[in-house]
This record gives sequence, structure tokens and C-alpha cells, in this order.
Amino acid sequence: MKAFFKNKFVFIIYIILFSFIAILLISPLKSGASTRIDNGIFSDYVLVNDGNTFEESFISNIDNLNTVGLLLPTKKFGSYNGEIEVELLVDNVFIQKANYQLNGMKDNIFTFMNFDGVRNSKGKNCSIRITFNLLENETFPIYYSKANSKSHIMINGSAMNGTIGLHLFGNNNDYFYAWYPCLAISVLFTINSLFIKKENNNV
Amino acid sequence: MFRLLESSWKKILIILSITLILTGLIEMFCFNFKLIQLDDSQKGIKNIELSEVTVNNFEFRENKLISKNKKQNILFDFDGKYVNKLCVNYISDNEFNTNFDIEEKNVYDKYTTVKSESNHSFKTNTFVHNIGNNAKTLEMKTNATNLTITSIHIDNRIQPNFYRICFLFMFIFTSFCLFSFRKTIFKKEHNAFLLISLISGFMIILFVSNTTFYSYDDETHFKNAYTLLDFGNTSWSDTAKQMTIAMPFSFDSVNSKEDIKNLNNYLNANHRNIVSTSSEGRFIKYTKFAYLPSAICLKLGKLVNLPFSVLFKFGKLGNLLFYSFMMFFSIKTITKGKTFLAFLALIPTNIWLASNYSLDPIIFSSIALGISMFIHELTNKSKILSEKHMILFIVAMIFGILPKAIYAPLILLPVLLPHEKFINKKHEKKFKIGIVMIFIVLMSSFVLPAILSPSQAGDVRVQATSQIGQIKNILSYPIGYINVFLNNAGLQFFSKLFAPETISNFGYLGTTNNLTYYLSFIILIILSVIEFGKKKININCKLRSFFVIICFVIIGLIWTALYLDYTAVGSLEMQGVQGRYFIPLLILLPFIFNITNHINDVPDDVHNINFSLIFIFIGFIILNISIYGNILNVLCL
Repeated sequence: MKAFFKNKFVFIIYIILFSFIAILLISPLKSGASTRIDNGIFSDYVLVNDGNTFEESFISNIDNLNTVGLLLPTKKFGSYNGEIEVELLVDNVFIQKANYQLNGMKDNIFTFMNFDGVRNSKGKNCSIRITFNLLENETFPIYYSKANSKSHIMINGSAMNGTIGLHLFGNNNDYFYAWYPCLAISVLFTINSLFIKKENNNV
Repeated sequence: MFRLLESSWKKILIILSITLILTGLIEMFCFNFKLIQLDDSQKGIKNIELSEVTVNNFEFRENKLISKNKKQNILFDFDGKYVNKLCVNYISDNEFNTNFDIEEKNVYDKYTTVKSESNHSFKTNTFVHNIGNNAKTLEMKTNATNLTITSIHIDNRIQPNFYRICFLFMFIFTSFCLFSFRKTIFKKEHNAFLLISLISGFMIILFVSNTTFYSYDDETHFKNAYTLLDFGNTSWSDTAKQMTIAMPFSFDSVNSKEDIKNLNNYLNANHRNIVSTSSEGRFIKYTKFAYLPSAICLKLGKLVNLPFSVLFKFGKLGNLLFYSFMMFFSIKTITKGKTFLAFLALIPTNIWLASNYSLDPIIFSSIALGISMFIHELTNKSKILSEKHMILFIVAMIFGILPKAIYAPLILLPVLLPHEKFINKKHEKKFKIGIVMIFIVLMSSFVLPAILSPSQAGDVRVQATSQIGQIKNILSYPIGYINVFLNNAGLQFFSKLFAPETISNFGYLGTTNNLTYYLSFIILIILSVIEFGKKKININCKLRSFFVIICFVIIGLIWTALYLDYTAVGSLEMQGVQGRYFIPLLILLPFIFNITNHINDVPDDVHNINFSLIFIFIGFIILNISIYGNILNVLCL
């Protein structure tokens, strides 16, 4: 090790520089910056106040599926109360479940539910099952924003109507592969510089 | 230290005996005095006949009260008798809320209405409301959808409170120890710090209930620590799984020692079976190294098959031990501002975070150790750079920076080490280039993912966040972003650095009382003046300016990071920035405002012991007031 480091100052600097170039080259190719599958399903569904379940299957084109984005109709008055439960199945095997509280949510919504990440999901048959558990009857009129609904709808009571969009996100790598050797080399180089000093000092 | 303890065992025995006697006397005659004075007819457990209480929207059937509508209330007439605890046994399939209006006797022997509120979980079947006073009437209003009250009783038994006894014992014992060994072990600041930190942290761990949503994001930190247990496939019990969500038990549902017992029984009963497994990669990601102290303790606890109620505390203990020992070595190593650092390490926020699932104490203590190593080298100008100190500096700093790369500029500190510390220019150049390289690599862990692979979704806890959206927004309106930055970071600069939420914060249990905050703040200022004013270890202007730049860069990074990840795209308000993120910078501040003065121009041996220990002891008092007021009095009576 000592022989490797001794007077190899320039050489190590080059290694570090090359490692950084590697990061810059590898990462964009590998990651593709949060690929998005835009399914846009569930349009024109009617949500009722207890346990409506929807399921959609798709073939994943990304390695690590990790986020579900749900576009709910925007409410002009009142708020959603209850929760959404999202289950993820790969090849019909249950993988993970995520819950998201809707209590008090009013305007918007691009709701994200994060999973720990399903690795190697590319090319597999995935299913997303969404269950809405809305707590109670709405007692006030509900309006939807123009962007997300077919028309201006007002409903008194439990049911509501609108377009629900589903978007899935993930990425194709978790790590910057070149980052770890970069850190290791930088640390070794710095520590080594301290010991070179000691050798010189002894001389 | 141990030799000293060995020779002082007689003294320790005496301290223990006095502590035990004092604890027993205070518990019995101060806290149970009213109960002792009661006549025999009022003492003990008194059942309340459910058929005799005045109810609204309850139906009395089969000796039970069954709720009819959504809002119910029960009126108790106590006729001015003493009520220590009101115990309600119930069955519910939903969480519900209770409001209490109690006509209590005040200090002028008149009755005034005291209002309080608590939540109750459907997972347990009893709640206990502490009253501890003479009451005329009590109105209990609930909003349960399906509630059955099976029995209600008043508990007027004389019962020693285990938690209060622990608190009294530890407080008295530590105070006596600090006083008795003030000229030996606790002459050194780091020894006094270690004792106080471990004792106070242990009290917090013991008193805080075994559920989440007490400290910031503790459910996420617990989840991350627990996931590391088996390096790959982690088995989750129902209880462990519940702890990964915020508020598995509603916030105000644990209010008494009986509630704690019920909670623990529930947790332990549901920890027996594995309900799911999670798979992670075999390698620990760099952001998760800081969970190792908690994970190691959780693993040890799991190996000896501890019940969950103890295992959960065991994980917190890992954090506390790591924090206390890292700070112990930091205080021991630092050559300037030992008392300041010891006091800063003992502020309520730091000890609270160290006694919970959190990354902040790991980051703070690692950075503090790194800074101590650096200051040690900086102030020993006559000696050549020490390999041991610099290696420890690099390792500690990297360990502290990996979870939050926003602190990366701190690793640049040795760049301004004077030439005299190096043998020759080549040596100096190599070392400093190495340090800059490490800085660039550490910064890249923060900057590169944001540039190369920005997340579509920001933090899931906030709506409409998107890293990529925010970056686009900033790049489209750079001037606008500068405006937003100045309006937020600029205007809140001082409040974030020195506000109560930074110095005396007990998470969701609130900030501690104003007295403890002002006292902590004033003492930090006093210590930064009298400890840092000596001429002989003055820090030059160039270095101070460098510290200022580093601090400003870190402050900028903190605000920017949270704007990208935690703030809705295009928002004019930067959200999620909390005072605790700025605590590591407080170590550097006295070095920046290092005003030479004559207050301290007296020989060291005149004031060395009392000066340090008195301030550290005040830190201990502040902590104990906070623990009693914010934890013990709220959760454990």
C-alpha cells in the first residue's frame, strides 16, 4: 500500500477526477431521473363513502417502482376525510401496502405514496390496488376544479364524482456507483498525506 | 476514575443511603400528603354505580353504559370529596376524544372549573384521568361512535409512583455526587457532562411512552433503525409495524402511569408473532450509517428476547450512549470552551433528541468531535499536525455529514490550519487538497442526486412537492428565488439560531418553560464571553472570516435543501426548516465572536473548578425542570 501511495500524488488526483467523470457519465444513463409511467386510469369513477376498491395492472418499464401519485378531484369546499390504502402486487404476489391520510385535505391533490421500492420490477406484471376509505357522509356541497373534472358538479350526500388520475414513479438506480470509491480514495489520500509527513519527519 | 471510585466507596454508600431516605420522605410526605390526610372512608378504591350517574346519550343496559349517539356526556357529583384518579373501563371500536370540566377547589378554598382534554385508543380498554384535588362535579363529554363503559371507579389509594421515585432518586443522587466529588472526578468538565447526560437521558427514555410522535419523525427513524437489524430480510411484528407510522396511538392517549402499563401490555402482546418481512439491500446506504447505534442496541435487545416495551427503549439507549460518549471525548479534547461545549451538549433539545429515535444527536456529536479535534490542533500551534487527531477529525466529520450533506463545508476547517503545523509546503498542499477532495465528494452526495436524478415527488408529508419541479422553478426565476430566500432565511436568521425551539425543545411535548430557555441562553452568552476571551489562544481574523463563510454556506444549504424537498413548488414560504438543524453551528459561534477581554485574565487555579461545575450543574437543573414539567408531570403521574 505504502509503495502504491508514495509519490503517487498526481496519479491519485487523476483517479479521483476519473471517478467523478464516471459519476457524471454513468448516473444519467443509469437513472433516467425518476421515470414516470402515466396510466391516467380511474376516470369517471364514483367514490362512495366506504371501501371502494380499484385495481389496475401494467407492465413496468422501470427497475425500481417506488412512488404512486394519485390525482384526486380538487374540492372547492370541504375536505376529504378518511384514508387511501394502496397495495402493490408484482406477478400477483402482494409486495407492500401504504396508507395515506386524507383528513383535512382540501385543494390540490397530487398525493404521493412512497413504497420502500420494488427492485427489479422491470418487465414484470404489476398491479396497483387502491381502496378509498372515506370516513363519513359529506354534508356540504362539493365542487371540483375545472382541470380535473368533466364538469362543475355539486353533490349533497355521500357520493362524489370526478376524474382520478394515477401516476407511477420510480427510478432505475439507487446508488451513484462511483461515489463510494471516490470517498474511499479521497479519505485514503488525505490520511496517507499525514503518514508521509511522519516518514519525512523521522528521516 | 474507577480507582477513585474504589477508594470512595464509603462516600458513595453514604450518598446512596441519604438519597434513598430523602427520596422516600419526599415521595411519601410531599406527593402523597393529601392522600395520607384523608379519612378512611375516602381512602382506597371507590366504585361508582353507573346506574346512579347522570348521563346524556348513554343507555344503561346490563350494568353498562352504551353510547347512543355521537356525542355523549356523564355528570359526576363528588360533593367536594377528594378525587385522586378517575379510572374508566371501556370498549370502543374507534379512537375517541374526552373533554373534562371539573369543578375543583382552588387555593382560596373556592371552586373553579378546570377544563382538560384527552384522547383514548380503541386498542386499550382503560383510561385514567389524574385529578388530585377536591372536586364538586365532573362532566365528561365524549364523541365516540360506539362506546361501552363497563365500569368507573375513583382510585384514592396511597401508592408510591415508580417514575417519580426514579426521578427524585436520580436527581438527588446526581446532585450529591457532583458536590461530593467536585474536587476529584467532576473537576473535569467531561466527567460531569457524562454523568448528567446519561442520567438525564435515561430518565427521558424511561418516562416517555413507548409510542411514536413524541420526537420529530421518530416513526421514520425507528423504521430505518429496525430495518437494519437483519441486513436484508427484517421480520416485523404487529407492534413493530405499528411503530412505523406516526401516532399509532392518538397523541393525548397516554396520560398516567396506568395508561403506560396498559399501553405496554398491548405492545408486548402483539409483538409475539411475525406479520410481515421487508427486504432491503445487503449494503447499508450511506445515509443510514447513523442508525447503527440504535440498530445495534435493538439487535442486542432482540437477541435476548426483550419484550417490545423494553426493546423500544433499548433502541433509544443506543442513541444516548453514542451521543454521550462522543460528546465526552469532544469536551475532553477541545482546548478552548470546554464548559461552553459541555453546557451546549446539555441543552434540553440535545438531550431530548439523544434520548429518542433521531439522527440529529448522531450528527451533532460527530461534528462536535471533529471540531474539537480541529480546535485542539489549531490551538497547539507549536506542534506538528497530529495524525491521530486528523484521522479522527476526518472519520467523525464524514460520519456526521453522511446523513445530512448540508454540513459538508465543515470538513473544510483544516484548510486554514497555519503553515507551522506542516513540515513543508508539499505536505501542506497534499493534505489540504485531500480535504477539499473529501468535501467535493461529500457535497456530491447532496448536489448530484438533485441535479442528475431529481425526485419527481419531494417529501411525501407535504403536498405538491417535487424536487425536479422546484429546480425548474428556481432556474426559471433566479431573482425571484433570491427574494424568497432572503425573506425566509434572512428574516428568520436569529430566531432559528437562538429561539426556544432550538435551545429548549422537547419535540411534540413542546418547548420547556421560559425560565429554562432564558437561563440557557444567558449562560451560553456568558460562557462564550468569559471562556473565549483569553489572549493567549486568540483566533485570527482570517480564520474567523472563514468560519463565518462556512456558517453562511451551511445556513444557505439548509434552507435550499428544504425548499427543494419539503416545500410545495413555487411557494413563497420555505417550509420545514427547524431550529435543531442549526445547533452544530452554535459550536463555532463563540470562535467567530471571540472578543478578547480581561474578565478571564486571572490564574486558572483561582476559579477552575467552581466556575465550570456550577454552570454544568445549572445545566443539570434546567434539564430536570424540563423533564419534570414536560414529561413526568404530563405522562407518568
